[in-house]
Amino acid sequence: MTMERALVNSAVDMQGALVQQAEEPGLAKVPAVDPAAIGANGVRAKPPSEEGHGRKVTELRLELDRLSLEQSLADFEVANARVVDLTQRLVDAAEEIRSLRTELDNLRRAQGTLEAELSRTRSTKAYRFAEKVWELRRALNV
Amino acid sequence: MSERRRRRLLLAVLVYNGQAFVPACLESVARLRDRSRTVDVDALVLDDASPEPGWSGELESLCEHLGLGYYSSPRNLGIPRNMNLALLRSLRAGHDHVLIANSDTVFPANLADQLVAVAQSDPGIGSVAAWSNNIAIYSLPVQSSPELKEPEAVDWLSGVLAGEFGLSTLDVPSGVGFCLLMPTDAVRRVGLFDPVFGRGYCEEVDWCIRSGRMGYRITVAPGVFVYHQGRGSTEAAGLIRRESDSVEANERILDLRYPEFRGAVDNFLRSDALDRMRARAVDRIITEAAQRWGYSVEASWLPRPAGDDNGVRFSVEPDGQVPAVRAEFLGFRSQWVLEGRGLLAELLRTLGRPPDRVNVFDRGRFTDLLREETARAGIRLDDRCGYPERV
Repeated sequence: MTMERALVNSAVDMQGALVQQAEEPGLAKVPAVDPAAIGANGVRAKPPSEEGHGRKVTELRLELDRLSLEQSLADFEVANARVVDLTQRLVDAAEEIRSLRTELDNLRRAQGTLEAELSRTRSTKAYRFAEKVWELRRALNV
Repeated sequence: MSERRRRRLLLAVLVYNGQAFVPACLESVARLRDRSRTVDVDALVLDDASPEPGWSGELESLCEHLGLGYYSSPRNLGIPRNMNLALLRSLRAGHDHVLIANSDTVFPANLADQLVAVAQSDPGIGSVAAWSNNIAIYSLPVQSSPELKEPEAVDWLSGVLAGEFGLSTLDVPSGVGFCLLMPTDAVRRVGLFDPVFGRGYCEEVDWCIRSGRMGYRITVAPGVFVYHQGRGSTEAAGLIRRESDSVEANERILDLRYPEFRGAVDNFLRSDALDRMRARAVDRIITEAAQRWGYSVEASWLPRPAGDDNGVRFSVEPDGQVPAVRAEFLGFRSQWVLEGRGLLAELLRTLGRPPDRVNVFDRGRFTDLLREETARAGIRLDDRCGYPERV
């Protein structure tokens, strides 16, 4: 039981560390277990109980330790896969951001070039003359 | 014939500190286990490594004394991972249903019988939450009072609601994990709570939405009442802040996964199904209480403390301008419209008994009518009119 309990502890610790990486930041920290409540062998201290009831309690604890261990290992695998998946998605997203930023920079440059060209065109005599002709036509309604 | 076999339920209560309220909860668990008529209840108390010095030992002794299973996780696992132990345990041990519950609750004796019967009434039901004074958006409208959490009050309320609603259900967008029953067949198909929700909050919503997408119904059973203090252990654990009632980071996960969920909740709240059910519940509670424990009538402008009265208090405005009587019992409030005949005659017709007391605190048209009615019926009227109450 001590060995199994130790395994549960260690699996839960590993899983906790990994899941915390995968979870949203800002969650409250898991409070530390009171060291006084744990014996030297890692087994939680408990008051003595009667023989028959004690056996039932031990069986339940063993069963739940086993379930906890199995599930912790399964959670560990999922958490690990989630870290890998999230990292890949982060890399993909970062790549997409970089590509979009490059495209945005190119478009801004192109816009700048076009605006400069437009400004140059507007400052030519031909453009100003054409604009006056259009004003005249609008005034005469022709 | 197999339908008649006793169903097996695993009732798992999660504890994190909570010395002030956990004993009352566990005593109610033992009581309902002993008094369930159609269900075999196994109770499991999951101590999430409570850090309060000495408390885990006390809790284990209490569980031993009450005959409840006890398990302390090797370190703090949070709600989803602890409750997953309960789900796994129920699957392995062959239970028909598993009920997860908070420890800041008081359960009625009919909890297991009612919730299991509701779940059994339709194999399409994936979850059933009990009704409560504090069940998020579905709460019964009641002013919190110390009497509300007394086991006798919880039993009585639950019995009254069972009488009114039987095994009927209300389909809701999501269940609430304070007291949620799930058939193990549904657990087998839908799976466990997602540990991505860390120390907890929203994991049951995620589970319910997953179950809904698989075609299961998500329901509240209005025919059972569980007292829920709310925030008891989660605030102590630093899981939620005093000014908040949820964990924002976990809500963001729900928004990401189920962008349609908030719209579904809005649509549900816009329908009047819940309001009608609430009105029915409160009227039934007040009627039954008045019939059982009696009632008093008073004509007064001012809100007055309940005093030593055990029964229902009906109050009217002394001048009778508003043709309605306000009813109050154990923090439940309702307003009944008067239909022309005298107030006492109307109450006698509805409740089948005259009032125990009639008190008038101010003069007015209605006070005069009350005086005439009481004189005719031979009921004593206590005239406490001194000077006009209203400034």
